[in-house]
Amino acid sequence: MQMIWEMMMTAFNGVKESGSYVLFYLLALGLGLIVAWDRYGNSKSPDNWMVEEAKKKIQLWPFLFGLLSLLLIVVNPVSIWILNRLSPIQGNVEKLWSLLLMLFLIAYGVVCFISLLGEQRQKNIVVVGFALLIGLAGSNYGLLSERNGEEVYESQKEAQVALYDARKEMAVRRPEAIVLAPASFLEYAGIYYNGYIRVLYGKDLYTPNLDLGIVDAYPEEFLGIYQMVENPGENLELLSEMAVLYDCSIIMLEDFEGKPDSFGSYVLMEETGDYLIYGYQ
Amino acid sequence: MLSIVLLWSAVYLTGMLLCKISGEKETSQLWIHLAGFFFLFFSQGIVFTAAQLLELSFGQACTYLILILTLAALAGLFAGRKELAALPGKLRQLFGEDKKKKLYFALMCWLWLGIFLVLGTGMVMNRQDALLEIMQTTLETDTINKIHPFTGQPMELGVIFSKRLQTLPFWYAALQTWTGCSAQDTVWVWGSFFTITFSLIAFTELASLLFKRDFQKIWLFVCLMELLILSGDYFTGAAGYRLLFYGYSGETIVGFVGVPSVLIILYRFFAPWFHHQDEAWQEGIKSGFWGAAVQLALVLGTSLFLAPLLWGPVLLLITILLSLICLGAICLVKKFRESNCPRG
Repeated sequence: MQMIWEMMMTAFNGVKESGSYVLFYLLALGLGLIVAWDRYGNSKSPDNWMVEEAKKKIQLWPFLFGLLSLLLIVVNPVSIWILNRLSPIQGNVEKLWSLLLMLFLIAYGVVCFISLLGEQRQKNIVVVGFALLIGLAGSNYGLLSERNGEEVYESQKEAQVALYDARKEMAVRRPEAIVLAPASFLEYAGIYYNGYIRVLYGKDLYTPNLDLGIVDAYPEEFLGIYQMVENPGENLELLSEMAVLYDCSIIMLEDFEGKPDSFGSYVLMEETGDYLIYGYQ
Repeated sequence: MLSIVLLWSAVYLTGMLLCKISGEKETSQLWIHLAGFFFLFFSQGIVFTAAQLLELSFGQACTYLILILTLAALAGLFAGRKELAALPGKLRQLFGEDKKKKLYFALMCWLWLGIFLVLGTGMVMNRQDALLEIMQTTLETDTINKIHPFTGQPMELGVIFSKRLQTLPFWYAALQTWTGCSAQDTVWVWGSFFTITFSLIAFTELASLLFKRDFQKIWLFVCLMELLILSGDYFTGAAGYRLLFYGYSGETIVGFVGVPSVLIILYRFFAPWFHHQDEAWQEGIKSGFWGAAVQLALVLGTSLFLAPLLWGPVLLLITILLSLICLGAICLVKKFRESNCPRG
């Protein structure tokens, strides 16, 4: 049960981090419920016939689809348990969120809401207001998000330069340097230097549906190494031993509390805002 | 740029041919595009799988693929000549005379360009690269699935077929070969451009059903969708910066074109029932079943080739059989419909 809860929370955090649109989505569902209640549950005579006509034109099934998908599939422990049994790789649960058609329902909700307003002036103000709100809540340029797209871009670039410098320094002692990198940086580590920086495993090791039939080529221990790199606070000594065994000269880890200056055979070489780069001594 | 336009035209014409073959009178832009891409992915799956089995080079496989596409496009040009002639008039109807409608339409185009420039060409560093790695390996070695794209080690054919076979990266590599764009541009710029555009077409189609072809509302809806994409990034499963990654395994298309397409089909099918029109509902079943069957087959076929469902030749065979069964069912339904609802 705890595992299911954790998977649900991981999926939710993934959604939350990519924008603050979950709240808008829930608001859109709320609008659908209000209209449905007004149409089927409330027999009061209409005060404003134009608004009543507009309400009649609103189609409720997209809201119903969104609500049922959310309750029956996306946040349903049974569906998550089944998915986890069928394909026990983290990340699959996140994909369930694509069922919600979140952006679609938000935009549909806004247009429906605007159609309920009487005056044209009100409509114009609400359109501009919503446009501003969407911009402010988004993850790319929004003021509310912790880090926007530009900041992520700058951070990855900084880490890439630092890794390149570390690789250059290590090249004197070990020309065939192999790098261990966390999943959040793995792809950036390898590709831009055209083979100069080699990684021990690709993302096909841990990503569902990406194996291309070549996942067999990795030894089973690599999954253990991957887990250790992803959770850097634990088993650093063991990670060091495994890294030495597979001839890795650089270990890159995400920044964590209580980071040591050295562990096993590795010593801290570079430190960027998000990543720590340890080199073989 | 010219080669991209030519390729799009070829896909469009091929789609038109398939829609003509399926016998639909009123075919929307979405279905034409979907049908074209269905054909393209179906044929690229077959060509690249066959090329791998016959140990052809990647360049040879590309030549066969472009040949098939050119022939299909020429047939489409011939079959859809009347519809093509009427297309400019239909496009003019989209924004009409209404000033507000025109304003929203212009805003929609401007935001679409913004998405293309910002997400397609800007934040490339935030993208994942699996597709790019496989493409580059394929192009450098001029082989298909012979070298491990992530480690550079040679692969045995048995290992590949023991698991699954995805041909989408080869299709992107073929695009690069034909267009002459760099691998990064092909994946990050054109890949995102097509994906976003197609998903917007799909959602516009859905919105046009929901708002009863009230274009002011439809364009406002699309503007809001674009604004959400532009400022909050384009998310399929809601995780950020994964357009390409999901694009690689086809989930972007399946999620953002396939799911709305299925919703459109279901809506068309059930709309009379929603509106309590019993006679129309019965008529809807008769007339809608044929279209729905074709469209479902298209979506299903596209999904099978785009989504990571293709496990080697066995599933390829199942896919072909499934398509044949769909085609057979469609023919039966058509025959039934013609005998029970004679035209005129």
